[in-house]
Amino acid sequence: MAKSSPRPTTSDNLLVLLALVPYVLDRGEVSVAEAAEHFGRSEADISRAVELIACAGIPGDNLAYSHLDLFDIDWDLFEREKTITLWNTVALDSKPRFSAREATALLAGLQYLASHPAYSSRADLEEVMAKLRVGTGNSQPVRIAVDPVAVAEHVSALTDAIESRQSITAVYHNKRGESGSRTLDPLLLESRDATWYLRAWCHTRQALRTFRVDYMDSVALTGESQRDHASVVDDISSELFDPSPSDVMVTIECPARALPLIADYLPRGFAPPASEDSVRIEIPFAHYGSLTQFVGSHPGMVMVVAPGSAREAVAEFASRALERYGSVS
Amino acid sequence: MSAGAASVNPEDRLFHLILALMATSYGLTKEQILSTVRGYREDTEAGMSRESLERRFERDKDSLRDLGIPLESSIPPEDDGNNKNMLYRIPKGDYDLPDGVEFTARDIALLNLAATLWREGTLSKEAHIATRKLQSFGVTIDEPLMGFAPLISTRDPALTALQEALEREVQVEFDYLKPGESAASTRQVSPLALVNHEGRWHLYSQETSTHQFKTFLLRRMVSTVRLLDTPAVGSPESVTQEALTDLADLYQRQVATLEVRPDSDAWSALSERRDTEIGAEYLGVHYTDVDIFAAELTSFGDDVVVHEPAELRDRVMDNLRQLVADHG
Repeated sequence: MAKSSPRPTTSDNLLVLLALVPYVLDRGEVSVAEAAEHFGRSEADISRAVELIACAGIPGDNLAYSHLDLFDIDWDLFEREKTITLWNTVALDSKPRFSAREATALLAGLQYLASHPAYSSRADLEEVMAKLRVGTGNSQPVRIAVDPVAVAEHVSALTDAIESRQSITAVYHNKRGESGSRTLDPLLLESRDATWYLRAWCHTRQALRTFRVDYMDSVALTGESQRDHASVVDDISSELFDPSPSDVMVTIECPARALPLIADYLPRGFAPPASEDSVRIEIPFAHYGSLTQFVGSHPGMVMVVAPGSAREAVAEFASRALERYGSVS
Repeated sequence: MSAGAASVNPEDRLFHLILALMATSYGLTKEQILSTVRGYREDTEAGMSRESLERRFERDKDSLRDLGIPLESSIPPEDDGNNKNMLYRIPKGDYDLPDGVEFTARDIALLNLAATLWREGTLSKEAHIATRKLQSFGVTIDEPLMGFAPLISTRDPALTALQEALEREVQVEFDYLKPGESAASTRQVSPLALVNHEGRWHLYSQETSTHQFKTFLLRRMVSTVRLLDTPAVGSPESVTQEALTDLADLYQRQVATLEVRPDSDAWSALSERRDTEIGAEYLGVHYTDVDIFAAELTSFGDDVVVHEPAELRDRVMDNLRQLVADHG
């Protein structure tokens, strides 16, 4: 989690201020270090926020921000031991309630979890949802819902393997048309759109790899413990496929409006050009098997421009498939 | 700005604005805010133009509302219509979490996980705000829940506009490309619910001209979604359930007969799909949207041959011909 984060925005700083007050009240006394960990911010950020709060207040009856109308902290404790405790609060002393939109996001998220095999047995989900409705004062029906994609029993087995830190064996069909048995240490399961991906340490390759769960067969727990992958887990990026030096760079063209649909393939930090109807992008592919799958799933939308061998690969892929229809009347 | 008096930073000013608006029970006028609240007062005294100060106040109000802070404005009944006397306040009762609502460490872990589902796209801002609010609880979260991290895709451009329409309870208009048609037609509907089925977003709605309930796939909306002033019809309590049931019924009804190469990724993916019937020669695979399924089947190349229905087979063959034409 401790990745270099972008500079905090004013909004986020404000949210931290508003949450920090009730948090410190709840804790009574808390170290700057612990608060920094809790909020995912640097100790310097938290100290600055505490100093801001400690001098804050309301104009008051005489409009002078007199000391009675200000927050107060134990400055001594703060300066000597970097520990925060509030002696006086003004106006703000409670946890914030959730807005309707926030509650919608949370409720829809909980409903999704409730129907997922790993969480469906948890009665506490219902309880949290009820509390959240009370906590929002929101009696509106939830109007956003997510039907979890029904997945193979693999997902349950993989979740077990992740939780019990066991290795698995599985048959994997890759896009080169190869199938083979592999031993994997499953680390993280992620679903995007209708597809589940497993991030796992591959024993054969001795590397972190991404696998499509629906391309796996015969998943079995081995009973063997995983090796320690803590450092690898920290490195898992939000991009599914990390580029490798052996990748082939392929230039594709697609309408700008289609960009959201191919977001998983876009290079890191790709910024769509403003006001252009069609875009050319260079995308790395491990091999042409994954290129043809990608282009094939966006027919008429994504077109390969270069290199020539990539264009040929797509044309050949499609003609071969078309030939099979010769026998179908 | 006068030399010496360093300008108060924005979060400091906004924090003070919130405190002042929460402390007042009657409300504060703009004049009172600009001349007394920290951040405004300094700049007023430093001679910042009234116009700039007012613009800043407008922006600040937007920022607070954007963060879900219940900022109220009202004109006292005795000065009807005089904007100068508009009173602003944040009712503490609307800001504070109601008494008696307590979340356990486990609740908070679950709520955080629920929020991470939206870490990309449309609802990510609300999810982030909610996560920050959850941090106001001093409980220690000791239960690790991660292990799987589902991500709900919210990349459809129409999603934001439709969500806003749902909130404002107004009708919308958009151009829609029906499966099997080459020209889009304009639809006017009351949005009732947004549901994600098989990983894709659908709008469940009541069409204004026919009063019929209709489901639209967001990906097929080919224009921007226009919000109208016309109020939408109300939606029943169970609306999301109805929408999902409708889609599930459609999935059940539509089955394709496919010849699939054994031991291929296509076989693995299609045979494991919900309700797939595995026959001696063919797989019977269910689907919801013919075009989307056709695109998926196209991506499997010669590992899959579609036998039925003809509509799906034609679509896949058209896709393949298009690919050949584009790359020949």
